[in-house]
Amino acid sequence: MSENLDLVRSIYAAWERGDFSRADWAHPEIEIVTVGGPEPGTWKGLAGAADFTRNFLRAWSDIHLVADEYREVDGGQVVVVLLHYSGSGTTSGLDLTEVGSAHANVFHIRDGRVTKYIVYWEHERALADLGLEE
Amino acid sequence: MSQENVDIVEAVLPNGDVDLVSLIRDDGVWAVASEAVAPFLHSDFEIVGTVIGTERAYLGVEGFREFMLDWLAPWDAFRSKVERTIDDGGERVVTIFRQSAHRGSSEVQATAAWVWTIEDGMVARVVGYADPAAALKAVGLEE
Repeated sequence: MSENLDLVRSIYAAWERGDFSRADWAHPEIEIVTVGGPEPGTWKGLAGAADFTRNFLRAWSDIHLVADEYREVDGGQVVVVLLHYSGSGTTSGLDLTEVGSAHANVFHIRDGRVTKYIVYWEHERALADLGLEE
Repeated sequence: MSQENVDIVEAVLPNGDVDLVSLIRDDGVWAVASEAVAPFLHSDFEIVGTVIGTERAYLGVEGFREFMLDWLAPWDAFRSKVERTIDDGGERVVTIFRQSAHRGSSEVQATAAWVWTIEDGMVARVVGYADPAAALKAVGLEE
């Protein structure tokens, strides 16, 4: 299942270059869920994913995501990325590190496409939901 | 006609040494820049960006700024130099950019391309592509 890990790494590589245009990694009915943070919610489909991404990018300036660790779960069908963000709120000026320094993104993958992408503002909660330890 | 179209595109694009983040985000600087750009934009001007495979059109001069704000959101400094300009012999021009983006102490180099459609001597439409090959394919100029 390491191809799923490669898929997630390729997503981050594109985002790192500022390329958010790709959709080849996303299932057409992808579900995006944000857990905690300033705007928890759910978005569905590619159009929903695009709305989520645009809103996220607009809300934070100089947003920078650093992946610290990748873990495969459930035979590789789930990939957990432990990460931290930097940046500041576009209108609030809030420093992202004040929201919490340790976050997690969880990718559920089926047949080479991400079917569910969960953004956890507290990585402890992601680990707890998946029954994992620090 | 094609060279005229290229001239129009070059008139809209800022010098490649300009930090686009400062140019676009600062209200005062943008007020001056938008006055310079507006005469070259068609009354129906739109610029199209794609996020997660989903296109969105931004309309008018302020739409142009909104598009750029989205494009530049991840960066604290961003310079974009035209590497190649290709006209299709008709109403479209492709510009391929080499981009240098900064975030804190890190720098990212990337390429991108815009496809410009010129109508009535003004820019009517721009479509942004992260992948220059996709832009060339869109105008039938695959390499």
